[in-house]
Amino acid sequence: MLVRTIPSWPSARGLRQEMERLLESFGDSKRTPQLRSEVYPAVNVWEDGESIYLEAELPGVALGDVNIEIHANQLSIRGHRESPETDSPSYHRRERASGEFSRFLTLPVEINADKVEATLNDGVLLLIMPKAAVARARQITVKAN
Amino acid sequence: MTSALANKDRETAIAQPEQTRTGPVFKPHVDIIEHPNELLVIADIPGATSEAIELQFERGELTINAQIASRQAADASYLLSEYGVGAFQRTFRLGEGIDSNGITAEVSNGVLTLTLPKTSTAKSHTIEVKAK
Repeated sequence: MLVRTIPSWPSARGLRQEMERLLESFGDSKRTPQLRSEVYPAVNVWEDGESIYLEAELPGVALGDVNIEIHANQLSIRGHRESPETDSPSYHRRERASGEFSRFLTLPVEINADKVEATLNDGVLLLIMPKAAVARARQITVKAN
Repeated sequence: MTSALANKDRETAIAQPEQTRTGPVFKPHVDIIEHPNELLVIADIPGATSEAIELQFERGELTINAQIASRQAADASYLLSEYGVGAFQRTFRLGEGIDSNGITAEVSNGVLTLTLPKTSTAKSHTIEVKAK
């Protein structure tokens, strides 16, 4: 999945929140879980002046099973999640996805790939990706004459 | 006829547990695996530490409840927002065959594993066929 239209995302989030609020007000709270994304893994991406942050929920995945690659502003996350038991005798329910997964994202700016930090705690992957020097927001002082 | 209808109304009016907390509640994905002596319930609860998870067994129902705090500032500037963070909750009705006192739970990497031992009567056993 490629993400190209960056500027409109904050309003898209606002719209989603508004929809959630509306659904709640109709008393249809059962719908809320369906708003979780079907793409695996689902990601949240946010930024500040210095860095872009990406968070993905990867329960049961070890950091060694995740492969992260960054080229300029292209990010790929690949990995696999083990099935709990491959030769299991009897599943009553099987809802947890297993096997290979991958996500590809185009970030809005170039990343300083050498400085990227990745952590995986309690099944949540966090990438801290410092923006390349050219891409950082600069404060410009406006002088009055 | 009227009484049958009234009864039907009554049946649909049985109180279901309702959510009293505000905020989104998500249903964790689970695998349920049966072994000869136990049932395993494996639930994905990303972001959950052992302190955040609450297990309750009451009147034959086992409830998993986990409160996950938001990991980002409320005013974070999002480029992409595909999932929400909130509470995870799911309830299972356990049959007679589960020894509720023997249930154990552990969490690792955001995956909760519950071990539900079967009562001795519910355990499967093979019956030997003797040759005469």
